[in-house]
Amino acid sequence: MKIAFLLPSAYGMRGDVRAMLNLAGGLAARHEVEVVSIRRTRETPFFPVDRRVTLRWLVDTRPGVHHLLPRGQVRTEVALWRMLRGLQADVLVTTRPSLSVQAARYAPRDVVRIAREWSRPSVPGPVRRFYPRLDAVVASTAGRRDEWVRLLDDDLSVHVIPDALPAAPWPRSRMDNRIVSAGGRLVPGKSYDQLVRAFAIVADKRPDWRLRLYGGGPEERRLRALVRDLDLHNHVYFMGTTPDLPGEFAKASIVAVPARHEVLGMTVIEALSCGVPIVGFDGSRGPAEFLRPGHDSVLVQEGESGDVEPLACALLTLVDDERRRMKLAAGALETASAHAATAVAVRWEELMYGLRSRP
Amino acid sequence: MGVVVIDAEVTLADVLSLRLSIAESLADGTHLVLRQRGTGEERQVPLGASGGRTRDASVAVSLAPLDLGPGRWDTYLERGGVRTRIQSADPGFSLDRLDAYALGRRTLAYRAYRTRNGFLALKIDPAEPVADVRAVWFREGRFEVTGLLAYTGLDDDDQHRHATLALRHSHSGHGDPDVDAAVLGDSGDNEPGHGDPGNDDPAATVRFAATVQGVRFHAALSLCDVLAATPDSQGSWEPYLEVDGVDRALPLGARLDDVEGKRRRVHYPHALVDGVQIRPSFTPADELLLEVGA
Repeated sequence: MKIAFLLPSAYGMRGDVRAMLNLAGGLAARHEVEVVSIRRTRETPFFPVDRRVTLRWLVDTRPGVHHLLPRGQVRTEVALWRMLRGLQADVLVTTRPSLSVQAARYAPRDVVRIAREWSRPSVPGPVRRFYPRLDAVVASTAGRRDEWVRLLDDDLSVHVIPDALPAAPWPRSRMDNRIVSAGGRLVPGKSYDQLVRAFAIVADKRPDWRLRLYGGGPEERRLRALVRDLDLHNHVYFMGTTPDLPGEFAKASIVAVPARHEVLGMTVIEALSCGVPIVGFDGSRGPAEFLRPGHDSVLVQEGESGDVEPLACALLTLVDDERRRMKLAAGALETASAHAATAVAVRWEELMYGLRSRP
Repeated sequence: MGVVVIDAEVTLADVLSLRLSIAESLADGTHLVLRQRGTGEERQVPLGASGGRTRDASVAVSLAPLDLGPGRWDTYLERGGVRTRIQSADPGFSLDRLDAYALGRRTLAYRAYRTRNGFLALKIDPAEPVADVRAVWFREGRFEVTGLLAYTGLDDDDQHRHATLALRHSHSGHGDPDVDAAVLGDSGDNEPGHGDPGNDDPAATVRFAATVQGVRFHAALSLCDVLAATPDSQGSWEPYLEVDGVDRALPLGARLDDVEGKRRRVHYPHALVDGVQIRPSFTPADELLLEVGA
């Protein structure tokens, strides 16, 4: 089977890019897989791409690259339209509502078209109009699936398949370093400031523990200032971006996920794969959707007096209870096994074969 | 021949100890190959056959006799001319064990680690006695630093030792080397009276008493004295520690962990003394530096 994945950019550092590249690598063992990146923003992709996967791009937006024609939205749309019109594949998987709408409109009808969704669309009008032309919508969690079922009013063509981890072996934490890690883009929505404030309480009580923040983004400057104000410069390390987040999580004993609206949750799944327990917030759109609280993670309720103290309490309890940490670590590995690339690829294959055999 | 290391560690006796998960048991004639990155230099170590149809194998290789040079060495398993790079599921070290490893006096420090692509590799660094910085802070007009003495051969026995923290003008540092040299010359010619007059090193002009207990050290230095000793209120100082029982001065650095490039990753706060900024930072070689007026 020839499978094409369409991504806005396969070159960036985002959880959804990581998840799709992992899935492409998992499917490439038995199929011909191509990843089409609309934009090329860097020389090489940030995350490793399986060597059996073909990667191509439509518009080159690397800094310093000159074009004969002016760059812009029209140019990108024409390139996308041409690519979809000339697509020679059995299955096309699109990863944004905007791309899925274009695929529904212009991709050949003999191609099985699947939309991969992580969140609600910001503009539901075109989605309601054109998504019925697609063969299936695949949501990442059961909660997302319910939202899409309500939106499209179609219970049959919306499926759930979790995100994929890279092929094994995954790095495994020894659970003997006194490190709390957190990773992801440093953007306001991920509430890293709450984590830093909570860690100030932890560091006050257990000064030999360290917090490592992986990733970069617009919040970094503000967070560094916060670390300076709280006098945490010996305890908080800004580790920068890394293409091997699981390898870094494997050096930690706890991974903190302070985001209240963890839409993708790729970092959560990657932390689980290293056998590291998670500490985060409970909530309908939070990381609870990927986790089994009490088995692989500790999720705290939002407190009345603020969210910092409950988070600090949860971290401290886990810091002091090594036995519980080890138990949660074992549970984390169990949860992660459902996200193994081979297991996830098999579910996608079943779906694709089922859709292709439809009259 | 899929090989995955489940457990990798360089022991205190410089023995590379590996627990391997293998698809088929190790046969006679299997070699562990170490290949240096950059030069391509290789060492081959024959491994004994593992008994029975086991899926696990333990390997222990003494590294000192292999005469490995400093750098990074990739690991392979070779059998019948087929070479497989060894994958690793283990980060390769724990921070506490690195501290224990640094207690001994060594010339080379070996460390097993997992590369970003998931393979086992060895990192070998020249190991000289060093004072490893764990925390710094400003308090009551003083700069305080605390940490651990590494590769000195001293015992972790709570014994007090006489120690001095001295500051030396940085000439390998970040500014213009010519300017630094000029500053160094000025301080030697014009201000010979600072600090300990019996000191032979003209560049080390400021000295403070430090506390060393076992292998832990703590030092506090007055920012006013540092500023007074800095010509034109502009320059960089390299702190180093002199400890009784250790034959050389110990530079202050931070290398006993896996975090490289601390200059970028660790930002220390600054203090203002008479309107002049004093800021501790790290050099690209992860050594501590006190920048005045920067």
